[in-house]
Amino acid sequence: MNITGNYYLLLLLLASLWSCSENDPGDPTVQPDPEPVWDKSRTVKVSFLSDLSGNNPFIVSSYSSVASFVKEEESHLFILDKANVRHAAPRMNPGAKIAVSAAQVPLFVPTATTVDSYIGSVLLSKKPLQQMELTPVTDDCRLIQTRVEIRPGLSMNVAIASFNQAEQLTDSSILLKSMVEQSILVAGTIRRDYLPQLRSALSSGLQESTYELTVADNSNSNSAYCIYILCSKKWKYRNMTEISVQGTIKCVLLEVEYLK
Amino acid sequence: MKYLRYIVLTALFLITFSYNSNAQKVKLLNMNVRMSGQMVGYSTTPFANFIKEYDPDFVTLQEVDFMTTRNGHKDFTTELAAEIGYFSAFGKALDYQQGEYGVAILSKYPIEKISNNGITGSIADMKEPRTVLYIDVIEPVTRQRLRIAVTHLDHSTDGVRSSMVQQLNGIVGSSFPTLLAGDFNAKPTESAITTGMSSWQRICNNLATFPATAPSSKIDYIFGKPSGRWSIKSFEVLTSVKEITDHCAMLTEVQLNEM
Repeated sequence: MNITGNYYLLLLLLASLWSCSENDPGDPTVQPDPEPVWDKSRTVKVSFLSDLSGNNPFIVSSYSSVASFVKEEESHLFILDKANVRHAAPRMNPGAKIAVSAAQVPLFVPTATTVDSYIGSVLLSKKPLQQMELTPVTDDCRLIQTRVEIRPGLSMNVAIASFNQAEQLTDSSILLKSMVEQSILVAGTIRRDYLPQLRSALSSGLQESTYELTVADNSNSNSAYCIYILCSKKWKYRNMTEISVQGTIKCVLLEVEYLK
Repeated sequence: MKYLRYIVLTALFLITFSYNSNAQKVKLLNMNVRMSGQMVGYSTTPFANFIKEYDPDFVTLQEVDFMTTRNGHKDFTTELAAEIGYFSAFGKALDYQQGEYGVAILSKYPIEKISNNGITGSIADMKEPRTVLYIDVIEPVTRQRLRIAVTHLDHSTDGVRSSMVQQLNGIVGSSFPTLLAGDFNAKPTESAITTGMSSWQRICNNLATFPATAPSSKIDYIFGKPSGRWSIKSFEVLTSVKEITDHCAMLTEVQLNEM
């Protein structure tokens, strides 16, 4: 056989091998590519306590139940969503009240200001923060970036930013882009109506292949607010668990893995 | 021509008047809470009641415990903030009795930045490491960023305190209009005050602040920066605090003037 014949034989062999390795989508016996195994030791747990209505659900009668829940549940971060602080008399800071009972330290992250209240979330931590700086999104809306120790030797940056006005999304695009580029996991609550604006803000600054935006699938799909998770491809959103805390307050526990 | 002069003068008056009414007034209360409330069974309630009486924008606190054995593992700062509906920050000076000991700031306005920084002196002379804690807030009417700082200097020597003040000046900086209050453990004639704090505007007077039962020593101070930009609307040394702590409280209302 001459050289040309050898080439034809080799091509025929390769073609047959190729056809053998190709998955047949119609064949039910063919298994899809396996998902990378979920490494729970590289997974950050972020808990949002909220009723996703946009109102402050933390009334006096709920403080002890919420505090007990925080004390008993295991999570790297607890966020009391819309733990609004009343600045008109009588002043009231529900996040601080709950923090005292839960033996935690509160940090308020504002989203907006009204005539009688600061709207925002409270981040709970075990010890007082000795260095902290909020990042402005708009005049009244802030993002907090915090270091979370997932396990000894593995700490990651997580940012919390919540939105209740459309202009906040326009103004946040550069900031969110920078978070994705630094592989900082971002999570927060957002008015469900404004999800298209969030998607648009992200797509204007980032290539779709570089990030993942997930909306947590809470049981009430008509809730005014929802929880979003934004991350680079270094992260993988793994799971959401919804747990009743007290009355309308639920805990949405998000589990997101930092891939190797 | 006469009318024109009147118009110009009236316009100038109106501009000045509206400018003054927009200038921000800030009310600050300083208290050394004597071993985190040791005189009142480590309860925050007497302090909360005292603060409510004066309704300050900021409260600066010294001798504050975080979860120590002696105070029953309580977070004094958060408890006090929760009682009066304020925002708060705690700055650790040292580990103490399974918890922490230091200073704190309560604020009516959301806190933009927290920075706590240890300050030291000569190891041979210094009794304890100390700290300077500051917060940044946005004043809601003028949107001016303000820095509020607190410290409690070592009760050893003027040399140690001078070294601490020098570090404090570097830490607090001069980026934003600042109010600094605390227990300096220094008399007005000591170099920690005369030289160390010379770049600051003195907000307080020289009335004695310690002990609260019969004040005879001036060791607690309030300063402002930039020097000369703060108009002092009022300043009081409050002895009515003597039932709950051993230092007099200091209360001031100041106004930041434009440059």
